[in-house]
Amino acid sequence: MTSPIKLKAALVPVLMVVVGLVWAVLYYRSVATDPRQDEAALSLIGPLIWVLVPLGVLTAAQAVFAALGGSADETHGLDNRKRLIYLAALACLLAALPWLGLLGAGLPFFALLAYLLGFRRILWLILLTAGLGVLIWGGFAGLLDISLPLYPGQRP
Amino acid sequence: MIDGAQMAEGLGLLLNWHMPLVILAGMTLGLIIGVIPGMTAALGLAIVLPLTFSMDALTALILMTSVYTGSLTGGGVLAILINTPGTPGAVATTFDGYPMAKAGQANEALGLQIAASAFGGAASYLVLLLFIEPMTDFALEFQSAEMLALVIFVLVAVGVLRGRHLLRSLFAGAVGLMLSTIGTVLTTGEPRGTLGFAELEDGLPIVLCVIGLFAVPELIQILPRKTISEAEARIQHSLAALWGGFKGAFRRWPTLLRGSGIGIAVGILPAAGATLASILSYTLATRLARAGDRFGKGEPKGVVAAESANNASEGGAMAILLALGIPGSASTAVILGGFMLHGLVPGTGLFRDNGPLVYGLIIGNIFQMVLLIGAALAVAYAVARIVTVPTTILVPFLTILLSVGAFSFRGQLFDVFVVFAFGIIGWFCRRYDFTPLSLMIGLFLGSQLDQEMLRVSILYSYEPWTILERPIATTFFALTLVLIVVRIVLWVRRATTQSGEGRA
Repeated sequence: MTSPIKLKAALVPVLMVVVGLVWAVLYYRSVATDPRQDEAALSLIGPLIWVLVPLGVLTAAQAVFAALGGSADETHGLDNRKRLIYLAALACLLAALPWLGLLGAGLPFFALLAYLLGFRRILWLILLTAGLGVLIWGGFAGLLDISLPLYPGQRP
Repeated sequence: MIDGAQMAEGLGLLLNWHMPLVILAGMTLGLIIGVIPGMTAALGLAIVLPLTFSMDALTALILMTSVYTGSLTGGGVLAILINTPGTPGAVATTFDGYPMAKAGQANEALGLQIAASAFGGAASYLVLLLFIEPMTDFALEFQSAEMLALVIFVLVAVGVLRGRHLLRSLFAGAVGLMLSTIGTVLTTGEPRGTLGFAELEDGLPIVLCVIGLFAVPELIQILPRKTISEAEARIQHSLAALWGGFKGAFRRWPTLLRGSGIGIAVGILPAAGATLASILSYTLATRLARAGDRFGKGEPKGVVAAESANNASEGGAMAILLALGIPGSASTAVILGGFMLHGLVPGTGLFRDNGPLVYGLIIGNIFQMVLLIGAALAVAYAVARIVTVPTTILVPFLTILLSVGAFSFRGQLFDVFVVFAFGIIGWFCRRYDFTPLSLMIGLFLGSQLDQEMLRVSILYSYEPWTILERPIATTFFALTLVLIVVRIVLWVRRATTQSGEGRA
């Protein structure tokens, strides 16, 4: 195995460390330079940033060395078609929820995702979707009296 | 040791017509979750948590602990029937349970498993009931320095015991601590790290973060499977054999008692949990084997040892949760969320201010173990149908249920985004061994640690080494050091062995 191929195994862990570190440093800086904050605001995050940065560097280095040594895990990212479909559908659901409400977005999400994942018994799908609608509308909103944005444009 | 008046009051709280129904419902859900491979108690608890919004605190906690108990027991059912542990804690049950099933003794094995689980669970809560006062006294010794030392110890312990990569685990814990400080600073009243989101001024909704961290990765993980269990359990039902196995567990009482003791002791350790307890108990049982014992080939003592420790770890984990507010596992973390949701903060204050509730919860859990027997027998019978739920339906259904639950938490759509954002983070953490449990413990303990750091820096600012004059804090610092040293020694030894093998 050549080094670039070996290093691929360390890519995601290193990226995760970098994202974590960048966020942590920016967060620390925003608090440290904020004139409205006092020393108490830094009582934990001050010492923590000094722990987190070397820890992150060591973690990333360990991931790289493990990959070069060939002992990195043979795990891959979102390597399954169903998982990608799920994440894409989830993104659509989250985008639609504020506009269409829980019933308006949730029921099509349920039916379409089940179909795309491979569920082909249409009659059952219609019945289950209706059952889910009844559960949300009758069970959560009705019986448990939870204020939910059920329909398009509705605000709880 | 037991406060009679508070216990009587706690018992009074339990004497409610709906309590047995709540226990049965929670237990059944937990058993179903437990028998489904890949689905953990944490997911079941995450589903139930939003339903507890409108309940009183004791009913809500009894429901959640019922789910927890049920899932620990249910995990052993499939371990016996198809060699697939429904929960990680049931791994050791497969060692002798499945060979028994293959030899036509599935009913006996299930009887052994259910009896050992119920006994282990009941014993652990009985110990908790008897020693609740000393535990409270011990918890009262915990002040700022002790809490600081304990939090550091817990994070390192999780990394050493649970994570395959200590550094990644510690990094996740440190990021969790950092995330937990988002929100308004108490001393200035000004927000920090909110990125302009007003919803974050009260801090991240920790309960929802935990739900996302553990439930969503579970859903993503099971997606490639057609059904949740790809092999259907087949069993010839025999009530007589089941009962025979049930009685057989009590004939092996030394193993039963030993397993329960190990479970309680290991359960108290943060992050060790049911898996370590059951494996330790099974290992000890094999070391103490007599001539004629057939460990690994269908020895009933093996099932008893594994399952009694598996369920007994629950009482230990609850003890540390109630006394110190430390969640030892993902499941107890969600239960901790349940406490917080109902305005209860586990730790010294819980015993002082809500004694009857604590007693009610413990007695309710002992009562659960009696009901567990009936519910577990029923689920063991029905299990073959349950495991064939297609993931194509289950995953979309649970996703919608999580969305409804997240929204109903504070009535904000923002929270739905938080759940799924932490779900994606949790999936990557799990996939690349950044130990989601460490991230979660950081999230839970961070805000408390923030305050403790401030107090410690004020109290010990001139002489920080005086912290080491406090025996409990020093003990935890020493234990932390021991854990790190042991980890390094093991790592060096493994590296030396590997390089030796490489040269050979």
